[in-house]
Amino acid sequence: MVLVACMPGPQRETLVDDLVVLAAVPSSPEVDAGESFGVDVYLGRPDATPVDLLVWSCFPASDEACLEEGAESRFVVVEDAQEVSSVERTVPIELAFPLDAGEELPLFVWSMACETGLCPLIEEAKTGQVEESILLNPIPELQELPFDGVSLAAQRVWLSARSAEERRKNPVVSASFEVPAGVSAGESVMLSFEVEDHMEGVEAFGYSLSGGFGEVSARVFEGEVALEWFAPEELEGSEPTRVWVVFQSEEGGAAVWSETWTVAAKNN
Amino acid sequence: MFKFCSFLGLLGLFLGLAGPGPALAQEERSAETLSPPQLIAQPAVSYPEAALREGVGAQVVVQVDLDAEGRVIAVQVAEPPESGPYSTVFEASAVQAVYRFQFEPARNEAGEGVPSRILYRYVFAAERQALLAITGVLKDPVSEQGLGERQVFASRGEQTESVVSEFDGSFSFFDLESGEWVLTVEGQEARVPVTVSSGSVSEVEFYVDQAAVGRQETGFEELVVEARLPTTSVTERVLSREEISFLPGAGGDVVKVVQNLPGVGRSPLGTGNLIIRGTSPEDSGYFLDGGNIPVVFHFGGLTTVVASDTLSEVAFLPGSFSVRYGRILGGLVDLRSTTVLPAASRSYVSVDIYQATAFSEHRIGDRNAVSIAGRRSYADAVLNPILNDGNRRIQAPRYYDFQARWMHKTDSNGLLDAFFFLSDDSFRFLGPEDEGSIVQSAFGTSFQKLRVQFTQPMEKDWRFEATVLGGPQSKEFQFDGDGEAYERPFLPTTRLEFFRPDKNGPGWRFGLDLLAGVDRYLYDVPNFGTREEGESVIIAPGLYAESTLNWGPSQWVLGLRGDAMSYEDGLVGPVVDPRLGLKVDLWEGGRFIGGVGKHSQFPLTRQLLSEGEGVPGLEAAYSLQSSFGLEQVFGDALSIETVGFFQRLNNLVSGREETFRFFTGPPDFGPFDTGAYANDGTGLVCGVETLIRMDLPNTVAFLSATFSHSERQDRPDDDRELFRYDQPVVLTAVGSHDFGNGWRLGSRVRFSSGYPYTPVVNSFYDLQTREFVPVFGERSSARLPNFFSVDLRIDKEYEFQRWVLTTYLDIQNLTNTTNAEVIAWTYDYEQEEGIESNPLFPAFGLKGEW
Repeated sequence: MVLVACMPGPQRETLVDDLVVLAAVPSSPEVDAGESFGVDVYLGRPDATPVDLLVWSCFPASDEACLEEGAESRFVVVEDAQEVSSVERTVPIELAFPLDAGEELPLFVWSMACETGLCPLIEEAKTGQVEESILLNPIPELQELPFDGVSLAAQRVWLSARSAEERRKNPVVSASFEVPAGVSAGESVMLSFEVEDHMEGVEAFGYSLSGGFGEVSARVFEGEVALEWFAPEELEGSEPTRVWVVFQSEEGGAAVWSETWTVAAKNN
Repeated sequence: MFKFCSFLGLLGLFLGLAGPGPALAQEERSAETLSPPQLIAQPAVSYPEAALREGVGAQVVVQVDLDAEGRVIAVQVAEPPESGPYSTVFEASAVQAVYRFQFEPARNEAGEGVPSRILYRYVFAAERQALLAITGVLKDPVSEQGLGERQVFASRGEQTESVVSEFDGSFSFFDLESGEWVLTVEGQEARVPVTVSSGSVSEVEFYVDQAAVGRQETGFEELVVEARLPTTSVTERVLSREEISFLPGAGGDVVKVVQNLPGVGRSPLGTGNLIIRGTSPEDSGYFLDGGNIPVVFHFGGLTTVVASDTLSEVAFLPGSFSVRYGRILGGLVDLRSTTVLPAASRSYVSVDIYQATAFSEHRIGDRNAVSIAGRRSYADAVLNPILNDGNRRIQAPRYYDFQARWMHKTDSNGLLDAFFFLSDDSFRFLGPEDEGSIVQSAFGTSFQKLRVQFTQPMEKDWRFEATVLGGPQSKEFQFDGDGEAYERPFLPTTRLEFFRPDKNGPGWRFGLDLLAGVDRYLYDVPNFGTREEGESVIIAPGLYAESTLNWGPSQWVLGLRGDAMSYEDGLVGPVVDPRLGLKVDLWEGGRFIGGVGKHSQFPLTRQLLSEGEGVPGLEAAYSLQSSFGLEQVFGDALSIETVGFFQRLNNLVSGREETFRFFTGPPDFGPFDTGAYANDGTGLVCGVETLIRMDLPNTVAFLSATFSHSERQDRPDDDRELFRYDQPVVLTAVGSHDFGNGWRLGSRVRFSSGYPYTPVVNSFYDLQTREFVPVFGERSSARLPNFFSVDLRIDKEYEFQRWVLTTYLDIQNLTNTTNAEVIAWTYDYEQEEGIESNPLFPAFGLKGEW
């Protein structure tokens, strides 16, 4: 039998210590055929190693081919990607087949971030030549890649014929705490938010480049949620740290709040 | 073994007691009105070896209290031996020996047995060694197992000597005069003439006709009734309760010891899952007197669900077994309950750090006996207050079991045996009290079973056995408050069997093995797949016939078994399983054993029913088993058995592995075959297993080794891969030594290869669920670290006037070795984190018996 003690302090899962795609927030989580939508891809980067980003969507036309025609409509390569990259995607008009009332289909928007030169898929994409079967199912590609310096993530976007008012929406988030200018090592900060919840079931997930959050996630209740962030216990000098809170709706839709503040040693 | 010289140096001082106890009036204690007790059997004990070497003898006078049936109920030293280096040893040996004496009770004028007290002088005479005249062994003619605790008589004219056979059937007579003697065994008509001549030892094997035993209907002697029908399997390793109850690592549990035998893989997390010769736990089974039982261990394999004292022996049949057993691909363990009415009432209470057990058996008259036993864990009572914090409450593992039994010996020497047993295990997470303590997740198993068996000897050595075993059983699972799953079969089994041993011609066995009832299931746990619910009447008759033929030094066992199963949507089978077993005596103590055969197993109900995700029309899976080996016995002390085995598995049901993880146990992480069910799976198992066993007067030890390879192919287009329970090397050494004065020390050393598993080579991030999803590498291409453990057990027995106290300390994993049992990963699968078995774990227990 295993007894797990609930000790206060940062959870390991909330510390970003390797390259990771933290979120891919579509401008609208629900779209119709032929529509374009933007995607903001958030990267967690613990160091300054150059990173390339490949973002694509591929609706299967067969086991080996995407419905999207031409390389430009299938994927976008962002070289030397920064913390946030915004790309545009378009839903193929060929998907404009009649859907029954309330029926919907998931579309996957894939994001692959790699340290430059590490991922053959991105290198091929830079030349405009990528096998469609890989875009359809990129997971086997990971079998040959290392854990470190590589991150693959998938975000669902829903295809439907519903009107704009009926569609899913991203949560609208505003911070209701005062962002600290600096935090001493060993201290904690309570991050509270007000969430305008268009859909049911929104959960907040915290991440940071140092220290960590006391809980991996917290559920939004009556439009409010709070997460406690802990600064590292030990620190020499001072350094900036990046903090993200990703708001994910169970029904689809997401939002990201992020901020940078300085953490200083206790005697500073 | 040197036989100490003992003779009745009878002081002849018979104190003579009448009535129920020592509080009786003195005037009733009239020796003149009573006939004194008569000593009728005095089993041998060892003469202290050092004393013998030095020629030291001794005399010990002991006071012996006998009850009205002549049983020795108390022995005290009335006059110790002369003071010397061995006086304590002589005292202990004398008391120990006299406790095993058998007496005809003292009788009053009316001829009724009455309690009595005598003084007995025990003489250890070292000046002359006793001469071994006859040595022999009593055996069951069919199973070849030794028959212990039978009285053996050697007669010559008016002179009669008697001894009681040891538990392994061996017996010896010393100091017989030269000439013609006749050996007989209690209850047997057979007379064996033996010539005793000076300077030589006569060796005898006496095959006891079990059906004829049991004519003693009075007296305190053990009333042996018709034994359960023996099996005729090629490889059958039988462990008696007395033999193994003190072995380390098992906590006195006789069934757990089976896991030390060759052919048995080490079960993960000590769950007690049967991994026999590279097959799955679902392919093997536990039986009770030939009837399948659903579970045999409480949570975590802590202890068996029936009290060990209810059982006489545990038989392990790893493969090539008799047609008596069917519907399983792998091997089996048959728990065999006692068939002997107890000589006297006996009870005990035992407690250890996690459970308490009580057992009591009583002889009622000449023909009836009852027993009752129960066990309750109290880990929950200790842990619940610690674990509960108001928000989330845990009901720690809680289990109990209960058994009640009635045995009746009929006028026609038959045995009617009714055995009720139940078991219940549960583990729950409860929600906050202020929200009604709703069950958030739970797992539990329970059953209530009644087994009624009637065994009857018939004419011309034939015997008949009828067994009905049935009762509800349930396996329950709840998850996250809104998921529920259960399996609730009610499938009683009925067995009717006629049997004749092969002692006067061919042996025969004919039987009907019927399983009939209702199987119900529900799987509605969203995290594990789609909802399924089903119910079906199941009728599965099996017919079998077997003949045992003796031809020169060889014994051939030819068997044929046919099975079929009907269910809601159709019929599986019929399937026919032919089996052949062969034993050939090659030379003195050496024997070849071999067997080939087909063993079929039906799909599960959920795999068949169309109302769920089942596929009607699935066929029975089957294994083609073969095994060949040698047994060699070196004297009384050493035996070696080596068996090679090869199995092909066909028609295995593949598919939908992800759905039932909560019932199949670890290790089972993935990747899963999520396709529809089909008879697509095949498998191959081969290996060699060896058992070296040493039986010395005070020492029992065995070394078992299994080297095997097991692989599977789930679908025709898949690659062959290592089976998830494949363990190429399993080594176990167990030993126990009796140091005298109640001290016993034992140790077990285990080594086994780690299980294969499929490594996670990367992961991707599902941003919707915000969970990392593993990307698997080549299937079964990694292996857990090897397992190593040393266990130690120390027993100390204290004998008091009316009861015996036994204490033990059982230390598991003495070296505190870290053993990874199941692989786990960090949240992003980047690092492996094995779930480890117990660290050093001492368990202390007490047992009071009277």
